[in-house]
Amino acid sequence: MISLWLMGLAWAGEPDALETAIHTEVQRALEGLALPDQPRAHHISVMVGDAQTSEVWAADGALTMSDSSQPRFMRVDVRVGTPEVDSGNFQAAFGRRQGMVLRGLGREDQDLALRRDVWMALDQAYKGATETYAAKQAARRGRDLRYTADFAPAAPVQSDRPAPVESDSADLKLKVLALSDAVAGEPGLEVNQVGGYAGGYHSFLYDTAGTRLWQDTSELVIRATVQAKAGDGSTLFNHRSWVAKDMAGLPPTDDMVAELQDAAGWLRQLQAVAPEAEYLGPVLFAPEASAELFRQLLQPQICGTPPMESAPENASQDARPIPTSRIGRRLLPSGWRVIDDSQQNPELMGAMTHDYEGVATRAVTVIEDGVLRDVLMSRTPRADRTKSTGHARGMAADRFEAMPTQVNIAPRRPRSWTRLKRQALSMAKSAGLSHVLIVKRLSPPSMEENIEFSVTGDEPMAGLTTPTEVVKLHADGREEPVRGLRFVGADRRTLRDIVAAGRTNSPVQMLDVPGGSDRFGWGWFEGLGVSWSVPAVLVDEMELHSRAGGEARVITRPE
Amino acid sequence: MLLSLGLSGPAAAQGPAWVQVLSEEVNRISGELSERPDPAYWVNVAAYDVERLRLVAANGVTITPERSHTREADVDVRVGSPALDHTHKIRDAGWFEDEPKDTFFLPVDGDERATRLAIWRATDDAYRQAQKRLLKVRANLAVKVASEDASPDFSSAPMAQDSRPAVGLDLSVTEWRSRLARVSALSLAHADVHESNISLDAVASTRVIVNSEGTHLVLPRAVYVLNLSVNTTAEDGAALQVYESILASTPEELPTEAALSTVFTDMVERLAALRDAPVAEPTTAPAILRGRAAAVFFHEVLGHRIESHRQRDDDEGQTFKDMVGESILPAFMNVTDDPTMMSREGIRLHGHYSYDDEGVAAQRVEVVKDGVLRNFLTSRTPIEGFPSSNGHGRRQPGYMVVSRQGNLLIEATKTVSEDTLRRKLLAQIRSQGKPYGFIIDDITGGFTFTGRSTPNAFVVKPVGIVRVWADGRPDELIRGADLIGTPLVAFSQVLAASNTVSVFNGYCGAESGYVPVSASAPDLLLGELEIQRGDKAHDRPPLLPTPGFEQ
Repeated sequence: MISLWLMGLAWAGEPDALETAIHTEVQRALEGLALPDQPRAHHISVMVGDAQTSEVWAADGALTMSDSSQPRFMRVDVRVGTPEVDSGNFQAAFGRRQGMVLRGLGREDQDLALRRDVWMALDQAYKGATETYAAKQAARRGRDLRYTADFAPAAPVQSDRPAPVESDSADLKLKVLALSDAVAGEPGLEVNQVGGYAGGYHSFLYDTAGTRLWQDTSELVIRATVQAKAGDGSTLFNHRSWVAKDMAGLPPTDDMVAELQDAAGWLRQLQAVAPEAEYLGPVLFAPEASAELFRQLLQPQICGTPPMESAPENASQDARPIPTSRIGRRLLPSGWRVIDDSQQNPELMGAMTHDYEGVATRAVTVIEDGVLRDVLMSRTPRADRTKSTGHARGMAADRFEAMPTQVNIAPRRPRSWTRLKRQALSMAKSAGLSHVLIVKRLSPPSMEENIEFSVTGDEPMAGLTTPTEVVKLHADGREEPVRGLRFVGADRRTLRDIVAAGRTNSPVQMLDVPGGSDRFGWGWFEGLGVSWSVPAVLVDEMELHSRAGGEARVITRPE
Repeated sequence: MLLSLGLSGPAAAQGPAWVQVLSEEVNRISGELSERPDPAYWVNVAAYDVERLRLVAANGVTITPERSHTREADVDVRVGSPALDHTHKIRDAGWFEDEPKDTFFLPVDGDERATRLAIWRATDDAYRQAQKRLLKVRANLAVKVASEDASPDFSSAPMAQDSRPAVGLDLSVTEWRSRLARVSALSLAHADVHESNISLDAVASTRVIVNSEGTHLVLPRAVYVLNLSVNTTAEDGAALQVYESILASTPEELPTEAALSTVFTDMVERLAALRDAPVAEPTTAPAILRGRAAAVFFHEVLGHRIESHRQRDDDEGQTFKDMVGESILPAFMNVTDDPTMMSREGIRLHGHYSYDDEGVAAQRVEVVKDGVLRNFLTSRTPIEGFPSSNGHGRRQPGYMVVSRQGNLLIEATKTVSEDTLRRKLLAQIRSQGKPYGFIIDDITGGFTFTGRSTPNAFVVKPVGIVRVWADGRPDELIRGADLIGTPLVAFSQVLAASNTVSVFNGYCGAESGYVPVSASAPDLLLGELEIQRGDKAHDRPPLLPTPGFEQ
């Protein structure tokens, strides 16, 4: 689409060496990349990211690793065919190269060196896209299915090159060490591990439609685990996470230390508690746990990028099903509203003006009166949504898919925490129980210890990560720690079983990735910024089973 | 050389304070575990303090230098007795029978409390795993027939104490960054160099071994490794690479910029010649293996088969197990593995170490003397007839130790000049009625199968092969061939050796992970060598002209 590309000549400001090198090679590719009887590229995008990262780890109050780097990466996406049918959105055979190439780049902007890298990446991506396109055509042949277009149009955007963002790492080591040291001498604790990460990213997106977009993001993540052994040998975990755009977004160190000491104190309480066998009844989710509940169960329901097509399964020769939209179906109780608005708070994670495909991010009311009304979209259309809402993001070499930015969940008739507890007790009594469970914290997926959960994906057997802080609330107001319980069979229908909610709380900042089975395979510091503002919720009935067990230490702990 | 207690007192073996903490914890823990019903009779902690600096350049630009400092550690706890312990092989075990061994991190600032806690947790985990495995070992012995080799599982070794001062990295980052950038920019003048890379890894490490026998070793080492590669795609789709690795112990030993430029330019010229070279046909013919190729040939074909653990494993091919005292090579050939040797012919040897990973002093081992097999490379796991270690127990952190090669030295007592060797090659070609023979100059590596369930074959992968015509035509470079064969036949074909020596430095991957090794050898004349087509890629070369060469 040379005509579209020509619009790019009018981009803002003077092109620098990076832009010029990409421009030169993409122009050559558009004109010259061709193979006999094969389609040509209809869209090419090149994204270059300059990162500045620092990572610090400590255990038992001492530094175990400190690292910093300034990598530069380039991602080249070549789509051959037409926007109606192209090489995108197709999962070719395992190991088969596709139309995307990710490679490291030198840090200095030297024209010929940059052009060589772009040239080689474009060549590889074009060849991969050509074979993927053929594989997709072959997979579709003989199947009587209706397909939507593969690539939605979007207006090109341009911006000036901003000054690079510096990663906010100056105090990272001090904070990490302070946290680790604060619980290092705790009696009964086996270990603590604290990790800190500061990243600043300066990216440039170029595409053949004329987009020349510079964007900056930053993140600061500190996570901590504490571990102890119960009397029966079970290993007990607890954790705290702090995610923000920069150091200023984190609480004061003293507050963080107090939070981690609380987490450690919780383990000491659990050490004296026998494991709970099972529970079936109402469950009250406190605000922190509620944010995890919604992030884990609601995110896949409000993101509309369809799954990738793939070759028919060998056994059945059936196409991978493309789920019909749940738009118009109830996801939450009546009266509830859910809005994704990336501009709710520019200071929080998830704030963005454009997505990774260069589309302006717009606010979307995804749920109205409890019913799914709209979904977040990337430039990969689906039958009932053909335009991007500017929510495409993704990790490294993954396809860019829609994912939330800053989500606000507003219930109908919010109640006070006291009233929620009272209602929960009443429901428990009706179910013949002497107490109700309150879940105060759930593991973030990146810190989940339950491998079964990690492997099974976004609608697994458990359905939710391990609850790390759970109490029994008795009728007399007494709270008693519970250990060893994990959810069974939680899924999106759990959200319809919400019977009451508190007021929408302050946003909880997190890292996340688009939905799918690999959503839970990322490390402590990997993911993209999101914020969830949610209320505490009371769910009518949930099931939890015991997963306790382990071995006691045999060697005496050192003095 | 082994340093006994008498030669090196405790005062000389203290090292940094954090190492003392390791020693104290090992003593405390081993004392406690020796009293348990399933006693641990040997506790060993190894730590690897590694400072690393990495510089990379390509096409005249560099990435930002990467630096890291870690202190990784590894614990071994042997449960049972030296006669039978938990490490004993479980025969016919299913996949994933054993929980993987793992490493853990110690504080880099030496914090005493954190160091003690980390050792305690890892040792406790290792002990409990070992206890469980011993149950399975005992059951397996009851169920299975007796092993062919009934040797004990562990042998004694003298206590070793040796503590040496730390070494640091001494490199001008700015200067080397610029130097690498300038040399790498040479690629921009060549349209057919599609990708290229130069990296310099500077590593200052301290390997620490402390164990319940009182062994206390603090062994620093600095290594500077330059790796250079140039790549292209030939018209037939073959992905071609020429690769060089230069090893040094100090920055002063690294090449000057002029010398590095010469190396790079020579690589580019070799790549161009390879690109235009015809593809080899499968055949057998007489051949000269030049020194580095001969060295890798011996590493793969002989070296892996003289590692002691393969002689006690009933699933191994055990080619040489019963051939001690028998002739396996021509009488003019000796093979030695000598990890104590630091350099040969002025070239640093990558397989140098003074103590192995079980705390045993490295020893020069005469494996083959006058063509006769004399010895195996042993760790502390004995084999029949070889009850003790000769300092070849090695591993990558996180793996179980097995016997490995260090510096494999192939030597000939009767040698000829390179010219004479070539004349002998031509004579062989003509006497066999072959149209041509080969000179294999350089190799990228190789691999071999030593088990009983696979053919006991080897593959050596040359970069290029020179075809030497019987009728006097000029030598011709060909590509796309692998050398293949089986060990006993291959050794019977060694006819003569040159009076020159070449060194191959690299990393060898096997059961105990990757370890640095070297092999050095003279050029060897083989009466017959088989070549097969090597695997190749199939992509067309880049569809568009190289940037800068559009016209």
